[in-house]
Amino acid sequence: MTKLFSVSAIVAPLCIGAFLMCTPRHEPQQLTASPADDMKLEVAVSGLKMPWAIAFLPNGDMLVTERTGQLRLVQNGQLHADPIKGLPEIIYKGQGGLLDVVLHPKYAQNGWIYFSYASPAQNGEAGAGFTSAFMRARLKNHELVDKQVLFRAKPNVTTNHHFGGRIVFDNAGFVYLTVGDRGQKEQAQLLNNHQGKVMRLNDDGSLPKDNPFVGRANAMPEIFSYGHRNPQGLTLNPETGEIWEHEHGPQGGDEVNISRKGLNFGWPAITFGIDYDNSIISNDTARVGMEQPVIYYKPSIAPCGMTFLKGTKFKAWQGNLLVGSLKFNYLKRCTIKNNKVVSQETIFDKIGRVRDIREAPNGDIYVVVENTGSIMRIY
Amino acid sequence: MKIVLILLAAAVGYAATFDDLAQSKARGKEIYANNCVVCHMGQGEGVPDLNPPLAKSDYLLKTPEKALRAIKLGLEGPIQVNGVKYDGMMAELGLSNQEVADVMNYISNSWGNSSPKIFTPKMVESIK
Repeated sequence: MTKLFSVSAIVAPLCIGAFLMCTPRHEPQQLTASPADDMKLEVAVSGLKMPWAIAFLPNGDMLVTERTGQLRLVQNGQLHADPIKGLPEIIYKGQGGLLDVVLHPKYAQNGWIYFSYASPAQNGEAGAGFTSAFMRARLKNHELVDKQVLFRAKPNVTTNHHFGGRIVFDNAGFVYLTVGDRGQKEQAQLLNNHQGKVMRLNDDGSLPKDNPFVGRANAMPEIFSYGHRNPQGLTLNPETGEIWEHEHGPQGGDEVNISRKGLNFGWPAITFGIDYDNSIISNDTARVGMEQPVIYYKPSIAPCGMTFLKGTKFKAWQGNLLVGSLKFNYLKRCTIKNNKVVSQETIFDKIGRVRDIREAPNGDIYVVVENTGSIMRIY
Repeated sequence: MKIVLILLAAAVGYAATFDDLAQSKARGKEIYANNCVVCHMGQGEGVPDLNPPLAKSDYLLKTPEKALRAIKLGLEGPIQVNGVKYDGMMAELGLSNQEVADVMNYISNSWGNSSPKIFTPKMVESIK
């Protein structure tokens, strides 16, 4: 089951059919040899269907979301056969479903679990179809209780894609949520809707008084930053306390950005990609008043999952940023200096479609792989 | 007189079918843009070594029942398209039977493809 790998080698972890994709490697920046110790890779959990995210409970158990709409518990390393009860109605269609799961920073005291999902339009809401919704709840006897809907993106849209869905807490008690443009790119530049935005709320869903667009006419006050396409990566930089996100570009132009208060990240007015039918979305890659990414990927790697490494176990990788790739079935390890990516390395090539990357409290790195329905452990 | 009526009925029937197909393909185009284009791309060309093409695809045109099944239920495991092996994963999209038929009509008649068959929700319904 386990094998020793030297980190600079390209890894082919398991000979299961799903791993046998031949993927061309696209390297926008040069490979560097990694000084880390030999790392081992194994399957921590298998038998999942479309796993999307994981969260570590204080006792070492794990919560896992399956995009199909199930919240699962991994107890003592074993996947509990029954899904957790009490979830809201979730639309599993297109890119929608049950998405992220994140614990409150003080979970041990308050028990709050936060999760995101695609939800059908409700009576009285603007628009039709579905929206990105965010809920918090507590877990009691394998069931969700004390459920509170924190936020539902406005308006509902009939498309099945670009729900965003990531959740992260900062060190100041705020929670950030991403919602993609829902396939209506022009909406990302307009402040009167939640499409293509990073939202910032208090942990109880109430509105922070100093959000950048509070009091602005025709602006949604939950918005923190805008001009995003479909962010499926969101993480706190532990050194700077800032929120980093990444998002899918169109054909080319995936971006890693530092989300800051009130800033416009430009989609679709500026982009490094073109449309899927090869038509031009914008001739501009930069404009005054719009933010540049930290890095962008061309061709697209379809980034999903993102974390800074505290380096509890792998000290040589402390402070590195890991970005998962759905399309190319690998991870990118980015060395960050002064908020810039100074080098990148492809690691764990052929691991599979990466949905989530998390560092466990003991420093092991967990990678959620969609197509194999498994969670890999790097230790 | 009877023959005229029969011919008239046939003409109306043909026109109705033709119109249905046009509308189905139009809906299919929208479904394609929202669900399929990210992997199979704007001209149905796919992505080399990763996602198979739909344009002039033998898998689609010669074994449409397999393609229809993939759209309805998703697909895993190795397949061969135009002589090239693919071994990835196509997620189930959660489309309705009507949507599956519509997008199948669209892709089967786009980018140089043409299909003698018109796909209907009833055909999709019977796929297990």
